[in-house]
Amino acid sequence: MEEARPDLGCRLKRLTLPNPVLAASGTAGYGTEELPGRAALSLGALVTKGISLEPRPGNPPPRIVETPCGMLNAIGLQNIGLEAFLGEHLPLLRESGIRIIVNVFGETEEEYARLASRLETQHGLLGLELNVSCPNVKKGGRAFGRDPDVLHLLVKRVRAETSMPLWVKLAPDGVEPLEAAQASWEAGCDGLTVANTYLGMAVDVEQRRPRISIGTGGLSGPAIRPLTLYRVWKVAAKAPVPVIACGGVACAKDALEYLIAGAGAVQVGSGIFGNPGLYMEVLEGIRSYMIKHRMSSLEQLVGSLEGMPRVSF
Amino acid sequence: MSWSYHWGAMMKVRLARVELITEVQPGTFLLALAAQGISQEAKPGQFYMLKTAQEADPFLPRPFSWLRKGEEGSLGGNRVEILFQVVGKGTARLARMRPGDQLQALGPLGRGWQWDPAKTPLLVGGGVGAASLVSLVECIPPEKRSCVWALVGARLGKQLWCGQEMSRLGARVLLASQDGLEGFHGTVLELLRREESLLIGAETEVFACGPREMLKEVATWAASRGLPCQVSMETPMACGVGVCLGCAVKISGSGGYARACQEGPVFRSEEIDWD
Repeated sequence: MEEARPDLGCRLKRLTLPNPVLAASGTAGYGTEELPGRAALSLGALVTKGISLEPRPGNPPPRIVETPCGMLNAIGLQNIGLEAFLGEHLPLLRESGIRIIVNVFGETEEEYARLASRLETQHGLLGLELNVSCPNVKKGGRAFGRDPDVLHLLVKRVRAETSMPLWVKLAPDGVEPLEAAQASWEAGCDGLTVANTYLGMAVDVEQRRPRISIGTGGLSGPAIRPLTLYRVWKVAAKAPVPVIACGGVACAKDALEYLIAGAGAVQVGSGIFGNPGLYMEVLEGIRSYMIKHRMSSLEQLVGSLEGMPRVSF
Repeated sequence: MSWSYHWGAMMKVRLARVELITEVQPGTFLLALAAQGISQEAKPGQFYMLKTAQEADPFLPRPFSWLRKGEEGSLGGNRVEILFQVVGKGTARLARMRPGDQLQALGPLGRGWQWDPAKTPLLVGGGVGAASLVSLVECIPPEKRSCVWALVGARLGKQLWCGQEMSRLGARVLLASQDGLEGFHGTVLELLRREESLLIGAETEVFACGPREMLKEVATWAASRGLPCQVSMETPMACGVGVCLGCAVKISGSGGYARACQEGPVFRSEEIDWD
């Protein structure tokens, strides 16, 4: 008997994607680079590098260091700015057919709002993802995402500027994930990306200096996956909007863990650096798993976790 | 620029087979890799990202300049040699590879040495960094190599394999070791200053590769003598193909950064903000 090909179609509230495998912001450039290359077309969607209104030069080197089962980075949100993105990359992206979610950030609510209203008028974009882990200049540099009240106002402000699908990429530390998630969905977001990198450090013991120029960096890679998996499960159990998992996926099994725990889609991040074939490997791995377990649609897989106690608020 | 033109640059990722691995000097290994077309388009000074296994630890691939393509006269483009020093767990793991083992090789990547045949190269290499300069010597036609000056320095006299290799390829080589057991007793910079009247000609161009402090001093020296100078910058890298922006190199004047993996690793020395 011929096996039916399972439907990997992924419905994230208003947004429908052909599959649940996404490229995470900051690990796939603006979508036009050699990496991910053609594989970008097979992705459910590609989330761009974070874009701000004005170009940003980024942090001094060293910006990255490898750590056990992962890496720390402090790129410093280097990007070419909104207008250069629209002028140089968006035309290529439209021509390519790559499904694009634009990741944006600002230092003030006003900057986020202007980014959202400018992107609202561009065709060929699927949605926005707000990076709320950047410093809020009006709050002494404390990240927007680390204060649920500030986050709520920010999401509400952006929501008023755009009708596009709007995801909030939550900070995993410095805040109770569920509180930040609730602040975001109550402000009208369409999805929650759980999560971002975790603040971390590494020290060069010979020099007695930090191994990242600015002292601290964001930890990514398989080292963080159990931490993020817990947050994904916790948020997905309560959230009325889809959760998009992001943290340490290095093989198909990792993505399956997230989907089973309740994520509607999974972003692949820094794992792509060591394995340029990872997007396809994850996609095919999910397909094989569904065939093996006789699942015909992704809904049968998402949130199929059994044996966990109920979450209490 | 159209989309189809843009896709002209395809991912150059291959599964390469280890042909040979040998310790050429204490802690430094020569690794010969074979894969269809692996070095077909390799230019001197370019690099490869190597990863030994699809495992979480080590997590990232490691960048290595290539050393040689192989035996002269049989440059089929299906073989490339890498020289590496064991410094951490990634390189320790690489050193345990055996002939027949496979590893993932992405490359050749980046912008390498820009050699104008009208120029006379003066190569200055420190330690294993000199490997990138060996690739330049190999790409210079054999009849022109006797015009090339190469200065190679290392902390120990037994760490000068690259210098011996450049000599074998036909370059004029001067060695320096800080323990004094081989060649000049001192640093390669001291040797450079001492021999400069011999080394500098009308068409001399300097090519330097080694630790950042050494490159800075070579660049300063070259500028003060009015010599053009190219430097190969070593930085930590994650992706090797320009998307992660991890390998930033500060560019003079602009306040901005270039990517060692795309705009480099070779830069004109005046492009770099050395402070």
